[in-house]
Amino acid sequence: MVSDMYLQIDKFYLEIVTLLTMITALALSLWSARASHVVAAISSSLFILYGLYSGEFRVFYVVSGLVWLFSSTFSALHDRERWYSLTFSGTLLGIMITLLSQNYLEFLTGWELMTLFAYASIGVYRREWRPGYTFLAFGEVSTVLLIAGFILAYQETGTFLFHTLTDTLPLWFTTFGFTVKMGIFPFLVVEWLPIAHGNAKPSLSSVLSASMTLAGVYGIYKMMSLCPQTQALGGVLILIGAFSVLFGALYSYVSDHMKGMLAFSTIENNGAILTALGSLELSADPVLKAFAQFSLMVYVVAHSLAKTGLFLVAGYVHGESMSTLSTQRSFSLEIGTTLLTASMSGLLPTVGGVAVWSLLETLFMESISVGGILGLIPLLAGVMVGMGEGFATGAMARFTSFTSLVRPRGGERGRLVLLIGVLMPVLALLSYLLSPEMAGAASLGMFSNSLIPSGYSGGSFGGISPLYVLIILPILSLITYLASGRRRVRTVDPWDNGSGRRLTYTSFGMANNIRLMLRFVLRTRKGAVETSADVFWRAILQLVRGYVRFSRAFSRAYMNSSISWYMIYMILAFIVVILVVFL
Amino acid sequence: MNWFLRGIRRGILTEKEFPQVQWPSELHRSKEGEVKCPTDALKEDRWDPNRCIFCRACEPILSPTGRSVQAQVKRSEPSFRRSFYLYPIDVGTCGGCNLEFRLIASPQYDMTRFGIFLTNTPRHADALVVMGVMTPKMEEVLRRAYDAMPEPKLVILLGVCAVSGGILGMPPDIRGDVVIPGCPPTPESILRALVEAKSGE
Repeated sequence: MVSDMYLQIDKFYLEIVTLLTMITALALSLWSARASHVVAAISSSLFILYGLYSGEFRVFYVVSGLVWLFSSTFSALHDRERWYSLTFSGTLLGIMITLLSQNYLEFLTGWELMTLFAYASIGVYRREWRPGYTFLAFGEVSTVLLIAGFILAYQETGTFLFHTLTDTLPLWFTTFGFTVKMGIFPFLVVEWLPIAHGNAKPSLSSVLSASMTLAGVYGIYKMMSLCPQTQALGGVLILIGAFSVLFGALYSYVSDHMKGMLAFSTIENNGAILTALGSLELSADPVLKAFAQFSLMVYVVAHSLAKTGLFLVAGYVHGESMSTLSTQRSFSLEIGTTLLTASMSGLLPTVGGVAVWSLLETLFMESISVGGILGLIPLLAGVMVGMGEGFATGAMARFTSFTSLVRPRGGERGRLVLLIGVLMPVLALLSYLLSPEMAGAASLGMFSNSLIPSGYSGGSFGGISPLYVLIILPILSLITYLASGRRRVRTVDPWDNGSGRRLTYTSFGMANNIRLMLRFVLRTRKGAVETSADVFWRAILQLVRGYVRFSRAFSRAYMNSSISWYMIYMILAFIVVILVVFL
Repeated sequence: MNWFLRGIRRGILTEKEFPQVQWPSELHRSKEGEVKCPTDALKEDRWDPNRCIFCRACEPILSPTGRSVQAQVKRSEPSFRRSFYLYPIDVGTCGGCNLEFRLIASPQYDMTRFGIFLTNTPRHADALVVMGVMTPKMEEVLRRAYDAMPEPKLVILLGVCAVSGGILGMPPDIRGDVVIPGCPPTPESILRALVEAKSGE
């Protein structure tokens, strides 16, 4: 069709223009930071426009573009440093190239570019090498796994272009590469993601958490669409994802470092997204697959935008420890933070609530329809995801209380945060458009097409209506208010032994109940200062120490500083690897 | 080793005369003479235990009788018979009353066998044990502590400073239901007064 051809050419030109604008932003940062950020914002808007016409991966492009738009707007308003705008626009460029890539080489180029620019940003921000190196190290682990997967794919198809594959081994390698980048178990326990993301500027942190991990999800989704379905991978992903949800949320709740808390929340949400991807892989039923796809897309939207908003909130706060930070509450920040944390907690009527509901529905439907021993996997995962969401609600309640609700009032800032916050219920309403079906339930007072039903081939399972909740919630609140009248509250000062210090409930104290209840998991280690050393960290430390001991013993026994034996070892290893690859 | 064997052979000598410890106890005039008491504890030949700080400035003229100083329990509350929680508040002491008050929890005196316990908040307390003279910054705290206590409540004034100001200053402006004089009062007299205040035997 001629119009299709024009659309193709227009898309192509739009793509080129978007890329060029971002490169301009990169170049401009050598001259003026603010100009660079503004041009990056323009480029993000163009990318959103491009994404709206992109077909299958539309949601990924639009959401990434929105995240970049908000982050660069925030940076344009608040940041003046040129090294930062250089690395920021470089990271955005890298992610853009990854998302726009047409072959494996471009994908890897974009991947490495974003890793390197982000590493530079983290390193220069704190002038400490450790967080940056941690980030780079785990980024390279993911790249190695990706390269392995892509080499296997090239071997099969003979070209670097994205073609359908018949072998599932590339899928395994690349999926694990992407999960490492998303910060999922097993590397979750060394806490590399909170270390790295907690030590960057807020707008970059939001890009790292929301957009970079989104690139990982995009990669897995793309490879899944190219490779045949493997139920084993689906089951593994579901379990890994659910475990990450539980433990990411737990660490988020007991953490007292503001950005660290948000980074653990990122791990938790990435785990949920991974569970959604695994559910997509596990089920063969097309109706269920469509619903799993819906839950994946909504979760991606919910997490990316809410996390961006929350990291921008962190940008308005002075200090890093939740117990000692100072900030002033403003109306925009209060409403914005409350809506964003409600979305992250999975509460209706925000889009996060729709996402969590749909994920849990998918898991429960799968455990029924898949059946057998394989059906236990989604059931177990559903239990862990539910528990994790509980911790997440607690962590988010803590976050919003101590960054805004208990603070003194002052100033009127954070309108950007309010904007993103208001998007949460708005997108919940828009999720009807994304859902595979819409329905009505007249008997419950829900008029036509206001219900998002969940169903599989065996029948319908349930439904949810964000519109209904959005309408009922204010009505019920109003009824309660009118029935009970004005607040009659008696404030009693706590007894402080006459010290005069107004003793307040600290953020650290709020999480003490879980720290005490789960003290057998969250242990401590006594050194000069008592530090946390939970059981999983200890387990990995044992593995690492065991491996180091073995490696040292082996090298001493076998090579013992002899160069010739070392060369023989290298040649033998090379031969073994080639044999394995050929077989 | 030598000093050990020497000691066994000779016996340990400490004092040649073992003094009869009679301080602090009730005083009575044993000689004629003029007494200059720093706290005016001697009014018309009557010794006022509520003012005496046992400084012994009156020593040859007044001498101890050996009888322990009695506390005055103006009001006792029978509902505290089985459980009596104290909130001690030091509004300005030298530390002596604190040390003696602590001793009622020691194994030698053991307040818990009488059902007397300590609490760290006046909201859970039955009695307020006030020690020391009034200092400006503690006025507000004493008032808040008294207000925070639920009915029925007792106020116990411990030590001469809390009763009459002693030598340090003015006494706290609070009416005491139990008055325990002494500087400092012995743990035995404190415990006796507390047991009487809670209507015990």
